[in-house]
Amino acid sequence: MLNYAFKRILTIIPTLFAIITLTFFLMRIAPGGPFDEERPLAPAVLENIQASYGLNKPLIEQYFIYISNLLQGDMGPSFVYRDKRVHEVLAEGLPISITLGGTALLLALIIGVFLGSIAALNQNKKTDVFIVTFATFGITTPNYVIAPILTLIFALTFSILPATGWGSPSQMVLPVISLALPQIAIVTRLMRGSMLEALKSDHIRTARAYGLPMTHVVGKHAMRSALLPVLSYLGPAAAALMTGSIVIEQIFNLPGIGRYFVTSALNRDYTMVMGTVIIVATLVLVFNLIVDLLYTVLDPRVRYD
Amino acid sequence: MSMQKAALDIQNLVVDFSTPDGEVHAVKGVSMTITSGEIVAIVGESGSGKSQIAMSILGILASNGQASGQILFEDQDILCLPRKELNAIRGSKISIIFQEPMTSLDPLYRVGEQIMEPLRTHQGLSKGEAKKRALELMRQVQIPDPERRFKSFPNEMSGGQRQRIMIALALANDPDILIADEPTTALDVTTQAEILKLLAELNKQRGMSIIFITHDLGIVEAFAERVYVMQSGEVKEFGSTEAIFKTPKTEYTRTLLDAEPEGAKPPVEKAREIVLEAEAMDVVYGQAPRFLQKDTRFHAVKDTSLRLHKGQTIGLVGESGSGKSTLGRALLRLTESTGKIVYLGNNIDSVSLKSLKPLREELQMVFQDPYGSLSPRMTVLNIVEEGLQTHKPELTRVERQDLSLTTLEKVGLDPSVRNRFPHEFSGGQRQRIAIARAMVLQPKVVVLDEPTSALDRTVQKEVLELLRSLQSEFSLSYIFISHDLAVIKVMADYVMVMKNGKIIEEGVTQEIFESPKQDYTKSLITSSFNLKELLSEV
Repeated sequence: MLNYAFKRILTIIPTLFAIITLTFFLMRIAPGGPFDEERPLAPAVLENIQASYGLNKPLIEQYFIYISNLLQGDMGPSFVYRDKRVHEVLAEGLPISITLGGTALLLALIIGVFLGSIAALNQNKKTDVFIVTFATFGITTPNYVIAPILTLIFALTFSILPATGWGSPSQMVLPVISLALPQIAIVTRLMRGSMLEALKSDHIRTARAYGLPMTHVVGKHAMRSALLPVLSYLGPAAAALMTGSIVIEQIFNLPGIGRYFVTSALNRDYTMVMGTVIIVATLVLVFNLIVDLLYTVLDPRVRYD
Repeated sequence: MSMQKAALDIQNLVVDFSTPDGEVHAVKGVSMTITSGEIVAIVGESGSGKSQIAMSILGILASNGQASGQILFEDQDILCLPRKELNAIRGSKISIIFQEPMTSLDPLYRVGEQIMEPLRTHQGLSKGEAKKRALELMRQVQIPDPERRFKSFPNEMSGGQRQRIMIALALANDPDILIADEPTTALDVTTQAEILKLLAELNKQRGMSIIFITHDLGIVEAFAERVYVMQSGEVKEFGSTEAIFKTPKTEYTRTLLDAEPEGAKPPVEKAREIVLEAEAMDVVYGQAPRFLQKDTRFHAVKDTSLRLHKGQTIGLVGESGSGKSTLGRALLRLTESTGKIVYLGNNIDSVSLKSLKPLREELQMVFQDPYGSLSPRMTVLNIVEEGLQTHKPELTRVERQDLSLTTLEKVGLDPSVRNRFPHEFSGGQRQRIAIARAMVLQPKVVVLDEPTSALDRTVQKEVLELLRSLQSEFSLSYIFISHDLAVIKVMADYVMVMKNGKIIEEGVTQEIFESPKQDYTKSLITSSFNLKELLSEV
């Protein structure tokens, strides 16, 4: 198992390297550049700027410069946020996005698993219908609708919570809820389905036939097998949540990194695009590894040798 | 025996299921009594409602099921008990073992832990005490090396061992009544004999009543003292085992008793043309180990040779995992193998699969599970004519359909069912469809892989008759794979016994059954035909 984990960590390195290389060249193939503006710069000025960023060198040389800087922990200068290095910009926003996303994920996991199980245990009864309706609502309503509504109710009408900003725990409440709600809905539906499946299985019938208390039958036996499909979903979901959301950041005025995913691509901010790609790729690879390892803990039939 | 107090008294039990297609009456007013210490069998074919009685006793009917009537145990009606009081009875005073020991144990927990659970729940034992008792139980059900096995997960054990664990679980709290719901159906015959022996011993030693639910009359005759015969939710007949077997009163019981496979096939002459010949065949699963890697390959078939004459039926017997199915597939090149395979003078072991295609229509296969091997989204007609589309493209649509419908008729299905889907048929009818699919191409060799194992005995008899008549009509050659020696005995004229991938004994059917040479063959035959003697030793 440890051996396997070590091997997987080793494969992350070449995978990341391949992603970085591919993105680097793909980005340059895309038309346009970081200094294209509506009114074109004078050719001499443009040349000067490009020279100062090293963009006039051959592409392959730029690539090697980038990689060698990266190995020293430097993601290069941002072409848009002057005087700042990309890793500095990202280091400021990333903790905020991870805090927000991580809290939302935890909330989604706890509430979703709970609601899904309750719904499954009361299949086709009123409780079930109510929970399923809520889940459908949560999945279909986009967060740019939920977020303003929450702000309207809790910040503007009742003034219980602040509408925007970052720093105090109370400022986290609304963005976390907006971010978590669709995830809660998805986990609830997943959990309901897998719990129903688990409750029908033969070994649950055995547990009931042997007079084990209901808490034991559901909480120990059914829960563990029902959690497996939810776990598979959580890997990619964690990566997506922790890299921030431009919508939520805009609405609640939060300094996360979600915005850079959109703006840097539009601005052809080459280094910033590279930075965001590295973060997403790393998170996806790491969370998938964690999920795979957790699988062996939850399901002894899964063995990596 | 009848003077003793009833341990369990079932009065007018009715079980209904509400389904989208309306109410289904699974059990229609059944009454039975079980006295303490006796072994009672409930026999019936699938769908007769016999299992639902067990489920009602333990309150584990499917959620759409509803039981009414009375089930009296220790002067209480089990059906009316609140869950808490019911939990105090089930797993403690009344216990059950199920048919499928693989799915009936939780795959995610160690078996030792699972045996400890009912001990801790019902007797409030500490972890240490429960573990001690669990190990004791594992020893009692003859699990070798219980200390090590305690930590195993169910998937790491064989079917027989899993069923032993299930029995240990059931015995944990020394129950008064043990319900055994087809406990040996999923097991090999030799394992079946061992498990039955164990149950008989436990019955003797502990005076525990056993309710034995089964479709297998051979077991009933050897094992039970009294029998209830069930058909479509009702008890048709009951009485002592001897009376039921000697003087059955109802027509239905007589049909059940008559359904044991009958007949014999005379051997074919040695001079008959050889249709399929295999020499030194080997099948290996897995990849060759790389440098310093452990060899994890599995040698499924080892150095096997076989000669199939025209019109002959070779019976391939052996326990699960012996390699008989793999050999069957490899002969038709559905699994890669090494060695020589010759079909009517053509070497087919080395030719490409593409050039093998024209021969495929003459080499057909019928699988065990007629549900899994028929596409659920195709109509019966489409299923049967599909092979013709590939192999006889020159036929017009009308010709193709005519041929398919005649074949359906030949296997005993009304051509008017042609537009129905597989799920609308019973198990026996589905197997007929699977046979029609193979026969429509007028094959010369058919590999039958456990073709009747999923069927009730009465249906099995019909399907065997059908296979026989098709064989004599078209002088077909069969490779008949089965773990059921009773079937092999009547269907095959030549028998090959497989164990661990090797043919350990072969010969003309009569010789093998009358004077087996290998111990393994002997034990297979004893477990299949002399169950009664085996159990009388207890």
